[in-house]
Amino acid sequence: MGISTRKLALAIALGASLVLPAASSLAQGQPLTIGAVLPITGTSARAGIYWRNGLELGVAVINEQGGVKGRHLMLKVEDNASVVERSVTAYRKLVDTDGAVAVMAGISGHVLALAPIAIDTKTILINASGQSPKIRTAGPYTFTIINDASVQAEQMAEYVFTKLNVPEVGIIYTETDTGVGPMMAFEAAFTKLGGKVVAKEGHGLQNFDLRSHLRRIKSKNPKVVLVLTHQEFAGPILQQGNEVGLNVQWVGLSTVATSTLLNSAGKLAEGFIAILPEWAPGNASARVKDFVAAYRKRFNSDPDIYAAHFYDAAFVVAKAAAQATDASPEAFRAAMLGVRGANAIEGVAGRIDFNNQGWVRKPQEIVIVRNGAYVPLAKQ
Amino acid sequence: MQLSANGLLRGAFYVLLAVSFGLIFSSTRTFHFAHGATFSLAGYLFYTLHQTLGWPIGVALAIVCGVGALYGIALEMLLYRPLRLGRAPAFVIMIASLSAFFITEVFLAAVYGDGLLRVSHSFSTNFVGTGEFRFPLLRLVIAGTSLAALVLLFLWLTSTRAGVKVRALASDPELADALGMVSQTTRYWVFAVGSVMVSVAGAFYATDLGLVPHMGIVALLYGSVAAMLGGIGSIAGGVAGAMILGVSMDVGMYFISGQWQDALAFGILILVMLFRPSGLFARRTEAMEV
Repeated sequence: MGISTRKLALAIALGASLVLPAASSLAQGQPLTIGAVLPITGTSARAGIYWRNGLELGVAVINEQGGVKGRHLMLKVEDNASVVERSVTAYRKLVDTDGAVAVMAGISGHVLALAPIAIDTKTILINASGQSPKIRTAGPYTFTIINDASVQAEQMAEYVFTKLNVPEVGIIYTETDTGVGPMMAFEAAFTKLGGKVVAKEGHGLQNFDLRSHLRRIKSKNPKVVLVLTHQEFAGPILQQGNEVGLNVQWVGLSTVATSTLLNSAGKLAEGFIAILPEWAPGNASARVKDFVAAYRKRFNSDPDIYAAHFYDAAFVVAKAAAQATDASPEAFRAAMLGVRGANAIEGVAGRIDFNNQGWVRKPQEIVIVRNGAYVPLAKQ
Repeated sequence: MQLSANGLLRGAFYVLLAVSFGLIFSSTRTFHFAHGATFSLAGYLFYTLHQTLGWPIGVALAIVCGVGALYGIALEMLLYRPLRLGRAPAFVIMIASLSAFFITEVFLAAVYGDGLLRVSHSFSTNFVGTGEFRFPLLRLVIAGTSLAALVLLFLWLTSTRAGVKVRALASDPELADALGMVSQTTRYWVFAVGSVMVSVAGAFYATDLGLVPHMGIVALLYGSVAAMLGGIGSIAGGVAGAMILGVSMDVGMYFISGQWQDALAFGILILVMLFRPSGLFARRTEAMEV
């Protein structure tokens, strides 16, 4: 019994639709799909919720303003459960099945794992929170809209050495890309200035008992200790540091300078010095005030710096999509690189002005925790 | 000196884990993976009762112990006993226990989320002592509680009918069963008492370090390592193993690095096992099927 030609054609078409990747939504007259691979569950869930909220708000604002050339943005968020392997699966699903033209992600290890796939699939990967300097060279389709740790570390090293006049520091860091890259960048910058890192203690993600690490640091008598950990560790570090009698000036980069630190460390966070892009909920800029007000209205809580970054990420994609000369991935990438100079975006988390490699160097400010909030200490 | 003191305080916490794990294993020959789940469940329940609902610490702890005991009994009644009656190999029972462990952790993550939660209490912010010998009150409370628990356990094992039967079961389960010296109730007692001890540890952990859904692995790893170090089936061995582990880890991490914490614990275990496979303080026993 033969199969009819018509049935055969239908079968081939059905099979092809299952096998071939979904066409990018850039090429079709339909909503523009952007994706996000975020830790909605898992150890980084607290952060991930802020990121998702910021992105959702950004997409909502863009759509309220008419979308991109009349096309609405459709946001698809996939949960990676804070696991790198799931980020990879989620990314492929967003690109292959959902036709996402760009995918937002965070956490350095995840971004670095996704970057090769972004190259293979020629989709834009926007890193809005990962700060490993390795991401700079992750590939031509990876764009970073946050100062990476090298930028922050260099400035913090200079601040500690010249303004705090401290020549010896200790570092406690998470043994992931989030901690190792910044640790190396800081040490290099600090040593170059003439300083010395007298103690370095790395810890794993499963271990919240860091007393032994802190005692080792204490034994070297640094006056300043740099905290380069995932944000959920920062509070326990301050508490356990107090417990073991480690009385130092605590400093950190933007990775830890979040509401998680303030909530978990309470009064012990007072005096914590960090480096942040020029942004804070109390910033006088109208743009920031509007963002904060909109965020509060929608989510009934205050945003943190990373919510602001992810909010800005939506606008970066919208701008590039509007300026792409055609629907090809190459044109979209070129449009992303075109977000610079006169075409830069004044985001709520600072100016997004890409260099030739697709990363930014935003002005930063030193902040200090006073009365449970981050307030500017000095402009860098 | 200060390192040793801190190590002993760390060891005092491990005592609860080691002795409870050893009690269950030696009496029932069950590698009770789900012991870690009892630990986590207790921690989260304590957080809910004391931190969220504001119940007094004593009341919260009593309820936590009760629920922990019931959880342990339920595992024996609904999981281990049916498997034993069905002549399942010990390996299968171990895997079933591991499954119960993971299911409980996923449940806790679903209910409470994956972020770090913490019980705030003045125990963890007040200190006793001065200078280098300044210790958080909480750690001293843990040490005191461990000591009290050991005394109560010893009295129970030596002075009560149920305790004597548990000792008989631990000494030779096949013989005890054959002679009809012990009943299923004895096994329930084992799981109840062991679960109460680890529940107390879970509540302390919630206050000292905070709660994450995978924290049960801490109880399992350090409890089993300390129990094996000192000798499964020996309370004194469990105590000694816990103290040795605590001091060795604190001193070791100070001179090597905190990164090697877990490797240090297992390194110590391997070293001891090579020379004393039964543990430091156990009588030499025949190899047990696990």
